[in-house]
Amino acid sequence: MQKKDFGGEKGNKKNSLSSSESSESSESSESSASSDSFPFPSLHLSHTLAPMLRSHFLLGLLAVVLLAPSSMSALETIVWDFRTGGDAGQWDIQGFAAPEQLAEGVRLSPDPSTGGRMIRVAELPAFDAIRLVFSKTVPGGGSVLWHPRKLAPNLVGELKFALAGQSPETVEMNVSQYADWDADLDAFGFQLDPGSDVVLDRIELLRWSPLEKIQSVWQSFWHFDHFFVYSINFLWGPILQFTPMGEAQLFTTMPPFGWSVNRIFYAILLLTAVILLASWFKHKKANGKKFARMFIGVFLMLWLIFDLRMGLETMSYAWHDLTSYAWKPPGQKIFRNYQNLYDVIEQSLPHIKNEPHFVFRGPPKTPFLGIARYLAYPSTPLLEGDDTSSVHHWLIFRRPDIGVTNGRLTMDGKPITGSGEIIQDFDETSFLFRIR
Amino acid sequence: MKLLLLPLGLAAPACIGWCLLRLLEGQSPVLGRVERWVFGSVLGLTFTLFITFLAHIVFKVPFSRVGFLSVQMLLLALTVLPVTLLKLHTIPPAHSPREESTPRWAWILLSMLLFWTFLKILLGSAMLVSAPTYLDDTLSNWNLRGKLFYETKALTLILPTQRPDATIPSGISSYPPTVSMAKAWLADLAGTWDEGLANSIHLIWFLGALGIVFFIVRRVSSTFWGAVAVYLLACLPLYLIQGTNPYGDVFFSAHLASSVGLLFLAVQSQDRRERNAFLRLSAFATALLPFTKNEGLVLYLPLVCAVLAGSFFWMIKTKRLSQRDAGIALSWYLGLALMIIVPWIAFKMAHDLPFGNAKGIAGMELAWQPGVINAIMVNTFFEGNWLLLFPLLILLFIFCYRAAFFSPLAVFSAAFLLLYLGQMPIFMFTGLSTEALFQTGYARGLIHLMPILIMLTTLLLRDGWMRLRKE
Repeated sequence: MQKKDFGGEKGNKKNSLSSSESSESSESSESSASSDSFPFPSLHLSHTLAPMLRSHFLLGLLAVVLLAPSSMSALETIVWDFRTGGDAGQWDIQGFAAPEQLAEGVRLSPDPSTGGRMIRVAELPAFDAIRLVFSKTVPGGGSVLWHPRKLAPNLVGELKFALAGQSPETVEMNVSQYADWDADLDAFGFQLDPGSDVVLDRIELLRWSPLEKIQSVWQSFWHFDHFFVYSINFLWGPILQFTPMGEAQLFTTMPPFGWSVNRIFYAILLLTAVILLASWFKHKKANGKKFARMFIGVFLMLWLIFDLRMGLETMSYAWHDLTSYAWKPPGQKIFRNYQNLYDVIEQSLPHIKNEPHFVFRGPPKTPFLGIARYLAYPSTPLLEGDDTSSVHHWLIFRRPDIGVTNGRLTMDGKPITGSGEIIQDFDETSFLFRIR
Repeated sequence: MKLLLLPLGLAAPACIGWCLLRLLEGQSPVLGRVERWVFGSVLGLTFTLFITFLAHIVFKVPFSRVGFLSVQMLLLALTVLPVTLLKLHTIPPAHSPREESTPRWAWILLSMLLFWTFLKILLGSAMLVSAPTYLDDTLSNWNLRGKLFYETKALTLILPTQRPDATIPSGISSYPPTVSMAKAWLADLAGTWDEGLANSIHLIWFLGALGIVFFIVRRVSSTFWGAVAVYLLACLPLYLIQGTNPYGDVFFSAHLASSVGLLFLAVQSQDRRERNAFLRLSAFATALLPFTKNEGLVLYLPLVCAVLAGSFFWMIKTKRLSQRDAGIALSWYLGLALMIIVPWIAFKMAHDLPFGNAKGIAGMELAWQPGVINAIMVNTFFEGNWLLLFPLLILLFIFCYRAAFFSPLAVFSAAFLLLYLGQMPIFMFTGLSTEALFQTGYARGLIHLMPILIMLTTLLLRDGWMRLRKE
């Protein structure tokens, strides 16, 4: 939680995005956003019931997921539509030059020194995720801001996001997975960093039904990670997520968000032990072995489920390698997160392997040079700054800044070699260049 | 098709290992033929490569096909001849595996799990031999050095990752060259560097570790429990991943399991000759530890010595081992260890190679490293690496404490606790804390211990099972 001047009711209202149309629709938006509008009321458990219900959580989860028809979708969405004629509601806007209303949304150009922010002061019902849909962006970033009702006015939650610069671009944030998140809000908004320039299409606040959340838990249990360099040192294992968005984003961050399934397993084991111990005492400590066997049975069942889950994940690594690399013909081989790097180098080897040195240029801050060095050895790649005048081959991998102009290799338009020719083209930004 | 060269490349070292073990057993063979092949394949290859290393630095025997072969032929002659002359191969082993009554349902369940395990290993093996080199340490150490040895036909210490004019060896070169030499030998045999063939050797070490665990557990229980141990070890996701990728830790774990496992068999043995034979075999496996990974010399050898000292103390105190036999056994341990350690350390010192885990241990400052305990807890209890092994082990330690700490199984318990807890100060108080914080070295340390841990877990499970069945 950060200490910030959030603005709010007493903030400096520099611009107000509203029109008669939008204020009218704002009302409907507010009303649709009230907690009553959600068809599924919050689940209130009494203290006495809660432990029992929790004990049946996993079984219930399984039953519900298996029995529920997939059509039972109950996603609730609050939409603030910024397109012409859309329902955007009332916003306090600071730090933006006069927002320009376009057909595809509102154009926001933040102040080049301070950035800009849009705040909506209103009571909002609980929601799980946020979706910001932009019609157009430039590379930059910003933050989603929120103010929990119980906090002082100058304390806000902040969650950063990056913008790649695409048309359109969607930012999805599964806010409920963050420890700082408090669903009891009285203000919500976002800020854009200086240099950003976006056309905001709409903002969506999403809330999934308990059934959908249970389904997400089940699906996230079976959501496998891919084989990365870290997989030789640790495997995350099953991570439980509670929304479809969280499930879709699983293993895309380091570390991944969510609950380790071990927590559930340990809870089940503990609960089993407590129940069995209680029963054992109730039976005046008779039949201890029977209770021990029951505990072992539960433990064995959890072990087997875990083994099945992890076994399938490890097998999926191999299967993925076989189908995307080993069984593919040259030119179509993709290897894990390094894409066609190995394929490119392998295809270049007949040219570069018989010479003492070659030049490799790949994306910075990647281990690709080391891989090229290993695969091409005893031919070795020269390093940045080395004299390349005696080298005959330049292997370029995924470098859009390097091309060929007038028969010479150029970087950012400046020649870096003598004249030569591309002897192998691998993709739009990867090729093998030979100096004449 | 080059993969067919793997058994050919292993034949002579495995044979050398078989004969060496048989010679060490002397007139009281304790290992079954298949058992000896399993131990012999793992230990024999390492020993053969050690002698090749010696021949290379002393007599300049190159790392070429002829060079490797000449050492192997000589060793083969030196080991096969005495075995044949003394007719040692004709003496049958005294031990035959016991069989215990096991419920039918347990066998059916275990068979299904073993089939499931077989599928996982099969696919993992396919990945091992068909995927290109991807992992950091493989690219900078195991395979790169193998390729270097193969291309230069020598134990070259300046790596291609260094500047061409570099004169000081890379820290990576401080690692024992065993794994890389094995790859260079296979490449020499094939006449070319083949990724699949070079990596396939890791499968042998993985299967070797499974075999070692199976035979040690079976020896003190039954085939059923031996198979349970195989399932338990192979189903651990991180061990399976390490076993089916070109990494050096499963290789090391097989040696450590041999060293401690054979010591355990000696401790639990009721027969004097059998016990002495196991101690000689354990001495041989222990001696090889420094030539496997750097950790083998600076971390595990001292701790194994501590377990050894405790075991000897207990055996002498309970009059299982006479002081004379203890002296002879210790001489074996000392003599064999010095045979490996002295040339290796001399070589390291002569070339100014550091001691430690590629990063030198000299000059490390001691200070509390925050966050390490949390990282260790997460890796051990909240990830998919070990399934529910550690909670299971804790429960077994509680409910089977007599078997765990007051029976020969205490060798495994002590080995695990000493070796595991012995690593903790390194993570908690030195700059190597990054190995725990980034979950690199910590998990590998557990990989080293996993066969020992699984043997202990299986035998404790059996103890619990027996107690439950007594009704």
